[in-house]
Amino acid sequence: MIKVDERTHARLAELAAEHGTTIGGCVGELVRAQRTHAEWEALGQQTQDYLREHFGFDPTPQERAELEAEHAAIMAGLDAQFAARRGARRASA
Amino acid sequence: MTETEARGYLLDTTALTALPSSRRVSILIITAPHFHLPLYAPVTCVDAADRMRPGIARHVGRVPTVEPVDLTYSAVLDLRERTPHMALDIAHVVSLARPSPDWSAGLIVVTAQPGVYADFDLPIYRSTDRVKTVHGVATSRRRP
Repeated sequence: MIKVDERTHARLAELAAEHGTTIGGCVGELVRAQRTHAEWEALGQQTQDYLREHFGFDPTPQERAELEAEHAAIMAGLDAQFAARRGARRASA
Repeated sequence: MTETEARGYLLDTTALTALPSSRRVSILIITAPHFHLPLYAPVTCVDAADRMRPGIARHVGRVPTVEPVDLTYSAVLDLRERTPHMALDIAHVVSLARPSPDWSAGLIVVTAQPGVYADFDLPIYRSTDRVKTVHGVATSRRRP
């Protein structure tokens, strides 16, 4: 059994009614839309197995490290863009 | 959740076509789950890629990390309004990659042809290595 504050309960009830479901159904849908750490890991492993089996691809530790660094750089760039936009919005408000 | 945490990657036609041969596409597909980031394949790109490299559509459906994204009526209206002269698959990518109610932070486009999206200010992950030249001959890392 989960307990939520009144505001959250009211919002859940409204969302559930609009989607033709119950509060329990609504919460279940939200939970199904999210993956756990273990599910993400399993997904990565299954994908790696598939690519190895069908395309003979097995990434090296160096390739993984390079991708992680590139991904971090992309995300840092995006964070900087969002911060700049937020700053511009505040300045113009 | 911050805006960037909500992001994911969007594989365009050129990235999907390179799936069996590009190490950069493969490493991204394997590694994205470690960042808890979803990977999407617009069905228009799946169709276009399968025309160029038959069999890709079936692989896309079997790679657990990649989720196909349907072309919806509202997406058709959006891309007809914003990008009326673009090829359907590219217009679909542009429409999906922009911040929207479904993906509030937008999506990162995975492509071998970043120039195609140059006018749209979209974040890009290149699906091919930057071309290197050895004695004047262009080379790139591909699987044997």
